[in-house]
Amino acid sequence: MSLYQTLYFMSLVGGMAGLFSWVLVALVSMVITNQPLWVSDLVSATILGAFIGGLTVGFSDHWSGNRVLPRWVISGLLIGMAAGASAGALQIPITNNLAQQAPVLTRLIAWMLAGSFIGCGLGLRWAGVNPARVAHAFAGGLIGGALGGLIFAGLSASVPDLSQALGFVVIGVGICFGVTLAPILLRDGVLQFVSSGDARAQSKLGRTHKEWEIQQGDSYVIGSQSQDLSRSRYRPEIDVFIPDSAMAPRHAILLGKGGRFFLARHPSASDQASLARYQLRVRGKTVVTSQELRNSDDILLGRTALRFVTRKDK
Amino acid sequence: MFRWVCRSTVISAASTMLLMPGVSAQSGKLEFADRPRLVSCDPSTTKPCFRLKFNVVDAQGAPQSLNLPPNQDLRGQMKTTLDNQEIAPFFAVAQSGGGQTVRGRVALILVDISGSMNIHLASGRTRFQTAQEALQQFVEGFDESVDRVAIVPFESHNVADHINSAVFARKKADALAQIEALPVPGPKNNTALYSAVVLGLQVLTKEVSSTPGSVEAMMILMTDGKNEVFKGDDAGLLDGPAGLDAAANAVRTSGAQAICIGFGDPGSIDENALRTISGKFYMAQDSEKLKQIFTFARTLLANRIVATVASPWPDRSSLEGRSVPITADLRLSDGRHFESDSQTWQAPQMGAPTFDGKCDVQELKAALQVAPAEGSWLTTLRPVLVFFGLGTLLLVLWFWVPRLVWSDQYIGTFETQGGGSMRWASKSQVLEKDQGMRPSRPAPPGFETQRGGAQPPRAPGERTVVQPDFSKSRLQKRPPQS
Repeated sequence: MSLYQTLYFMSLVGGMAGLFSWVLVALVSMVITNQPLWVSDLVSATILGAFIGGLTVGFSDHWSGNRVLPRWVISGLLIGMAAGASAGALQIPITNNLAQQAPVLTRLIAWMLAGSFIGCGLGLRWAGVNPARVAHAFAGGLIGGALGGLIFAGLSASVPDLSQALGFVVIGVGICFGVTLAPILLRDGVLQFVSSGDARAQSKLGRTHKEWEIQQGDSYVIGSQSQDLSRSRYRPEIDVFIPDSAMAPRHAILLGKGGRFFLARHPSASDQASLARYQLRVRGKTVVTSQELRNSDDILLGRTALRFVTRKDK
Repeated sequence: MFRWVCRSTVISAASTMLLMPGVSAQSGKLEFADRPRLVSCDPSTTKPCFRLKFNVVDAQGAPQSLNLPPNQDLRGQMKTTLDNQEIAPFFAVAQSGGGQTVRGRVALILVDISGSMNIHLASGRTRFQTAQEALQQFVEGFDESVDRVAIVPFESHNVADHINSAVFARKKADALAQIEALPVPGPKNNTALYSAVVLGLQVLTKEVSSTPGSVEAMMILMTDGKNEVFKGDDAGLLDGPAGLDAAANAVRTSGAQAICIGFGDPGSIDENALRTISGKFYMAQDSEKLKQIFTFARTLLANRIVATVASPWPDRSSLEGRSVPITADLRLSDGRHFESDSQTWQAPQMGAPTFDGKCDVQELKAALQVAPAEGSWLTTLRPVLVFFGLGTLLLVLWFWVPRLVWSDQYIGTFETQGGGSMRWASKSQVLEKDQGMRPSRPAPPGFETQRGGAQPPRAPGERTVVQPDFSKSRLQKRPPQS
């Protein structure tokens, strides 16, 4: 899946999460009675966070070509819930002190808080690759929340139900758009899938022209290890997953450092047996330790060909 | 047994002699005794309704002398304004006893037992003993059919335990026993005023919500000092400006009427803090004044006008994102006129508005007469339409739009039996590669095309004959039967 396709579909996933959240919030609000004002907001933000967190992780893993692990989906759901609940809790004193004087502003703040916190929770997934992604996700969620809040505050008087549902959809779209767009905008390079001799890799990645955005400061592990074998609770251990049987579970590492990019063998695939078994070539030359990458370099990992494109030396 | 509160004429005596003598009844107003609450009157009406509670007070906040008309007339003499739309309530009742409808009343009294309560007054009795006497007078008119009262001591040790273990007495004897059982203030006790307010309101809210129907609630806080928390007191007690904010917020959000009473030396009482916690602050320096204030508090609790009004909006969802300013207006037949200040009902910032309760039987009957059951098909169908509308939009964006934008990725795909999709191509696969097209899978046998073109049409005489291949069948492996 290309970067723009990923952006498009992830935004739709956010919208879908927002719509489902709205339905659940509407059902739950029929049950909640005799509670302070903030309870409804806390519940709404928590449900929204849970849906966005769970669905984002699920679809993101599905499109990465790897297996969707229920464990990670549940982790995403719980982190989203916690982020939403934190935003709801932080909103309580703001509502208490500001709602009477500035109701519209209070509403906007509530939506922005929910968006930014949930975005931040999602960004944690990629904190291992690049901690700056948390900040990007936070900013994306903030903008999405502001848009959702504006729609809700602006339309609620004239189109009830639709305003809230649309607000939820927009905040979901905004959060996921922001979380996905930030690394695309800030990318310094792109790793493109060209083709693979492995039918599975070709089938999963070839049709959609899969691309991975690369940023300076990032560190990507490239490999064929299925997520079934992953022991982490939230983020994937393999950042660039290629289901090629001729690749090592952890084949190589792509590093962006000091304005330059390097491709190195993963330490676990650097012994003599692995050197003989697992191919790693850049511009046709075998890489034994590491190799600096330049624009339009062809990379061969196992039976899979990738192309590295960077704007640095274009 | 005494009624807790008798006729409203008695109220005037208490209030007039009490705090603000000489104030004209004409300058009175309606004062909100609770925050406006959104209630459901389903099935009488699908419209969300607001329940409003008022005290009739003079300009200084003391109860007014009123001969209120019977409930059926009272409704006609009241008007409310919701978001600048004038609406008459469909239900109004003066809860003042004496034959009028009296609903439940719940009171929580927090009594400061810090060390300074042992100071002797001019009467020779300590502040604590004087407070006990005033409390006994407060429960003197206890009506066991409707009243529940809890008297809870607080200082700076085991504050949460003491307040959370409050028992709301349903009998006068039990209430008097609670007063008798108040522990004598210890010399090392400090005053966890803010924490007591927050915890007390939690207990009061819990008690109110566990009671069916609409009850009148009040919290009275009596102290002779200010919030003082030191080392050796309970951990985590509220203090400083943040603690004061927390206490004031708790009062504001609970909606319950809170009365603060400062008793003793005015110099040692943090009047500003008590006024911040609640607008209703009273100061007493002697026994008589304290008793008067308790009488006054009792009157405010027992003499309320409850009005229920149907909102102009057809359903709960229509209140989303709204801030509704509410005012009320009472015009008595004798020409006197009372107006309330504006109080705003706030919808949640993100979520859908939730009901604070349900209308009781009387309200439902009244709603049925005045605002008969009505329901629009749009009200029921609107959320469903919104869901399916937005759902359809998302489906179109998911399945159809990408085929237009990234059309090359969708050409030549077909659904496979096991789920997912596959691509096939013609025998010209190699050719396509040469032309820079993406390689694709070979087409299944029998589906080969020339350069991706369509299959030639079959002649009517052509037949498909399936030749069974038993070479891999188990039948073949069976030993021949003789």
